[in-house]
Amino acid sequence: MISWEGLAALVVGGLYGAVFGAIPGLTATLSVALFIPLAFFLDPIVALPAIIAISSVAIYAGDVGSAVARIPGTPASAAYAEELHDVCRANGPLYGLGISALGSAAGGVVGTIILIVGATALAEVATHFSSFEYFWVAVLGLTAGVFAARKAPVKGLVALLLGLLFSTIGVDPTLGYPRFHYGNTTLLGGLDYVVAMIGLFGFSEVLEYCFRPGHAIVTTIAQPSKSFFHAPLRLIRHSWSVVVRSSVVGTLVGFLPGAGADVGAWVATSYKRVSGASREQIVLAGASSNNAAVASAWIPALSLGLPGDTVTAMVLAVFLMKGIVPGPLLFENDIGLVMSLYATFLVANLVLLPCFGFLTARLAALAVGIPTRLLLSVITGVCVIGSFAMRNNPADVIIMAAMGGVAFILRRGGFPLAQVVLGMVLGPILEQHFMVSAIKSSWDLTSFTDRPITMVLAAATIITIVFGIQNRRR
Amino acid sequence: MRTLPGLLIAALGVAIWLFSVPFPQLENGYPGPALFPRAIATGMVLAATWMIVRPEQRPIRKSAQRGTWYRPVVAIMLVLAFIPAYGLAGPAVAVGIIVSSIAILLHVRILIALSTGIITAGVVHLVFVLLLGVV
Repeated sequence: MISWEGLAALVVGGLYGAVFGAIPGLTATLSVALFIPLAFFLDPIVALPAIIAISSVAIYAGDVGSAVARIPGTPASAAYAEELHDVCRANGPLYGLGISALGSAAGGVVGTIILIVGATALAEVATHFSSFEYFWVAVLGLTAGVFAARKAPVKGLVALLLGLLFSTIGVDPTLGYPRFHYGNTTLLGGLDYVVAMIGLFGFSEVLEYCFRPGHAIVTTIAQPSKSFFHAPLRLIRHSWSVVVRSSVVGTLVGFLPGAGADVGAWVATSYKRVSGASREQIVLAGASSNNAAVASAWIPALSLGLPGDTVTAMVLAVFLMKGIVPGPLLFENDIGLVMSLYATFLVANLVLLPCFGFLTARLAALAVGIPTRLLLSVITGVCVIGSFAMRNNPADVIIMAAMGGVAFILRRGGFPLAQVVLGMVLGPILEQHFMVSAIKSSWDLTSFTDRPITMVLAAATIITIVFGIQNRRR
Repeated sequence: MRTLPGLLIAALGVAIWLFSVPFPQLENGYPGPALFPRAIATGMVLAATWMIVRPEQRPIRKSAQRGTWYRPVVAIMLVLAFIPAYGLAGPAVAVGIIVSSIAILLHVRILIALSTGIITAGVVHLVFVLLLGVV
């Protein structure tokens, strides 16, 4: 099902994805985008496995920055960056990244199985999603995010509102009106949440150390293979229901065009936080849901020809360039290609993720062996070049530094940082779909709950609020 | 302990509301681009009120607050120095200068700090400029 050239493409693509994903500021989407010009000249049986390997491994590798320096490489990994960093601080980066890599692999396999079994049926469900349903998905994610700050939901709410406020900077997504830009062209384009994340998590760690020298970054421990494979596998065996549930959540959110792995990871980890799960289980939930979403984003792409996220949008461009027509007929006319894609997903998750995961975890363990003060100096450089590389815009470095300052103040007041990113990710989705739905229904707000799926999502939001309040009282 | 943050958040909420006053409305008086910022502002004022009237049960430990304030400020200024340094010497050298400066700020020995800056500049040039071509 996979040719030798395809296997070679998987390995090279995986290595490329590992390097790209591990560098803050360079995302999985950017890595695929830079590969696309080359993909146009390659045979689909080589190009598509490479894209699958790049996206699967890069999404995992986004966790390497979180493990070493609390700098998430992707918005999806920001969902559990704090927990992953805490796990690495307590038990070493090999253990933390072992949970992340093997959890990602397990989630990817579950997502692939759902892709194989239910691609056509799920794609049919996706066609019933309109702006009303997307609005409620965002509301559900935000609600779970507030109660995820278990110690102080009000502070979680404030952090979330701050993130939503940051998301309003720039051109309004529905009507195109510029807001809060004060004549600055960079602000007019909006705040890039990857730049914000680098400042919020990475640079704030440097500022925290400057403020209070002496607190350690991460520790190293012996027996690398035992830490990376055995202990995380034991955790997965004991918490298999967490993996399955989070992967299903990741798949269900991930296959919705425009939602993708980022929202899936936030929803899955928020629910684990609300239910009082351990830090390891939260990392497991986030890692498995975001890789499940990578596979499920291909569901609408293969079945309907609709991109599930930016990566699959680029895949569709490759399909069209090669004369492959995605849609229901693809499963009849080109079943060989479809089967080879399924096999590639399984190989990428079962073989590549553990291998490249172990490699990157070893490198991360070496990095944390560097004296803390020196490591933090280098991290500052990585934060600067990572934020600059996003758009080749020096103003992004100012935004990154400002976000670091904001995060430093928030940390002093005991406000959580993850909710700020959640607000920035879900803010545009919430606003755009609310405004579109309101205008479509002539501002009849009852239309927000008169469709079957919206009723289910609204009920889930109410249950989350009740469950969150009860859990807090307990 | 939560009164000052509460007041600051409430002030931010009021400021957002005021800044959104000039935003246009839709036809028939329906809210337009101001709706979302005003909803956020209202949420902030309500959350701030809650923080002020319901004081935190567990006060923040004093020891956790102790630290040196000037160093985070200097670190932010050093990072902002990227803008002029980038204009003069390009991204790799600018990053190298920042890395060395931060290392010196954190009391790393000068020779080691300078070497780290040079190595980082080299790696940035190799990876970001030559191999990936992203800057």
